[in-house]
Amino acid sequence: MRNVFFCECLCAMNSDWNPDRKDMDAFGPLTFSHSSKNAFHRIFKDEKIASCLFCTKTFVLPQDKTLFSTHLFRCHQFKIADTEKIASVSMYCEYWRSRFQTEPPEKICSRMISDTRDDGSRVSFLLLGDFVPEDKKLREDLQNKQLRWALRQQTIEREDKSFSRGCLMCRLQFIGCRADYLCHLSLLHNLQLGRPENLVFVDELLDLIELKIRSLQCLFCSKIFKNQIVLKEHMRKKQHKKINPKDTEFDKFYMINYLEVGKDWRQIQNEPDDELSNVENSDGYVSDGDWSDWQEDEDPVVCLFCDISSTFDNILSHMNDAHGFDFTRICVETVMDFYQQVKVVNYVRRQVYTGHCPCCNETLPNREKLLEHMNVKNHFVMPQKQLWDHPEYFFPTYENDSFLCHLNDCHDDIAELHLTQQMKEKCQVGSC
Amino acid sequence: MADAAPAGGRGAFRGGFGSRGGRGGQRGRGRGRGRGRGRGKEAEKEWIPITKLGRLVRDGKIRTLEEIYLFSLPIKEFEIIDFFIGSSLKDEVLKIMPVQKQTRAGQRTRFKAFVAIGDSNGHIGLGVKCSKEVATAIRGAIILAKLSVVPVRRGYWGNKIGKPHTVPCKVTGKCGSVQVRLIPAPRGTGIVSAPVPKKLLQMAGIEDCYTSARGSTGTLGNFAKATYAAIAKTYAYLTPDLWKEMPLTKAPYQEFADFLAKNHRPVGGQRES
Repeated sequence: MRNVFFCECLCAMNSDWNPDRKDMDAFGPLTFSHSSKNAFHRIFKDEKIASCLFCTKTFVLPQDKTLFSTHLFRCHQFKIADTEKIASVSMYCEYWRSRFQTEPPEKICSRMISDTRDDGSRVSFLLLGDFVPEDKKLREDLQNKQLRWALRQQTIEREDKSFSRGCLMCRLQFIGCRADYLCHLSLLHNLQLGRPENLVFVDELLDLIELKIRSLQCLFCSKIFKNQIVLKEHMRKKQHKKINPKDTEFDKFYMINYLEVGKDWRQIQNEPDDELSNVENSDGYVSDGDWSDWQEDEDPVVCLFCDISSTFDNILSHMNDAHGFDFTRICVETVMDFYQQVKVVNYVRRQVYTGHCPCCNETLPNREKLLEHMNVKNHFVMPQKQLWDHPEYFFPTYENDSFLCHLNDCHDDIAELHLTQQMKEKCQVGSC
Repeated sequence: MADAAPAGGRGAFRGGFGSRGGRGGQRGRGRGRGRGRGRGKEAEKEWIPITKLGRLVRDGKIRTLEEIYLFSLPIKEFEIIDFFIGSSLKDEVLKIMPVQKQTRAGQRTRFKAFVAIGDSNGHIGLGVKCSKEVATAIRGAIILAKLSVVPVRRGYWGNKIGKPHTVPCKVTGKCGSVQVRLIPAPRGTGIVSAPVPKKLLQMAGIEDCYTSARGSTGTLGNFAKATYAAIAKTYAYLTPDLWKEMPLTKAPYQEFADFLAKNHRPVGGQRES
């Protein structure tokens, strides 16, 4: 079960708090700005500083890859298995570095004896790999994090419609989304980079291609040419206007390479796609497995009176505990239908925003004073109908106000209650 | 032009042109051509229907998509949808997420694409597909979404002036533990809901609507499907204005039975998707 925390929510209010504003005209769409979720703090960038697990030496990866493994072996008699299958070697080392401070590596790793060297000696060393359950979990974790990071980046790139770039091959100043620009390159200039949906870090990819072309280097075979015209003619004739599948420099731009770190993309391609086969359920709807694995945090609901936000049920309890306002009970007592509840919510929101008591309309200088007034005067009650029963309160005061998305029509609830009651009685009579 | 594809036809575009005109294009990196359908316009003529309904549609015996809905005929070929409203359909990727499956050969990670499709004027569909390449997952999900397209009935909140803008009555849809209720709203309200259902309602062509959600709305797949189910209900619910008696008409299979007998040869075996 996920813990739900009350979190402070900053209402993005207009900079001037104007309690004298009694005018009913629109003050622009209001929004709640919620505190951002804990996103990835680490980014899987190209170059990362990795620190040795046992001493203070640092290495820049991926350049110093060999130096690093040599250092580990020579100075610490330590070896990490399958480093190419680790999504982020620096994070991996960081983890084990702190771990080895609490528990000696001998207890976790396996002791191995190396092959006989030229001088007849053999060296014993410690090997760390995914045969250690904790290590396996760490690797899977890092792999997963990196994949999600890449997917998030891809989502941003897919949804961004304000991408702007001068075309590498013509005079067009392109504005729009990246997918359309890649199609322009493919259709008009025959530059084939693959389906846009498979690409990520597109800006960087385009920068790299532009760099190569400006340096008069062929994209595919990497040969250098005298000038742009000769280069373009070569690329056209030899059909080199595409990326060389063997060129690993471009691996990071293709999503398939993030699926399973260390696995060659060709191997993944050869795996059959139908393993997760189509499922046709009872209503004939063909789907690919289930729909329930896409989980995200629910949209937080903001209290009607203060800045606390949480789930709807928690907020109802909060309003009852902290403000003595039992929303559910009040609605049932006055038998409010859905539309009436909508109006009340929008009315209260507007009053609270402009610094007026929803009950008596008195003006207060700030939120604190307002809540104090309502508390003292016992004004945490349902406001009178003539105050809120106006058509203008059909329109949400706040954009994306999730409070409005959880309202239940009391009439329907009562009707349902009566229905279940009747059915119960019928059953009891029947069974006698 | 120096940039044009060299003679020899190597520059053939694989994959049909999607509604955005962006899904085609040869796949680079020498990964083979993939299963293409030829150039854009030719792809239309290439469709060889394998269902009776497909044949009737292809040969113009069915005038509108609504005729198919009227008789609740199941649509098993997405080209049928494309034929009628393909040009106005827009797809939107709701989510790409990684899924893992344990197989005999070890753990497999794949991309799962959730896609919604709609013309913002009375048609909505939802599809989900897994694949090792993002583009393939999206393409597969679009096809499934097209197959699931349903008509959306719009109505009025109060006065019947102007075009219909909201749901005709309160409708409820359910999927898993999530229950979504759509409630008519006055003109100008906009769509009052969480982001994912909002997209669906907009793509369906509903301008104003309140929503009420119950259950674990964090399960966005179920949330989307419940919303879709609710939208589909708009035509399922018989409101009083539809009580008038309508003359019975013949179902297309009956009406065109002779035509089908002459022109349609049922194709055996599964069609490659």
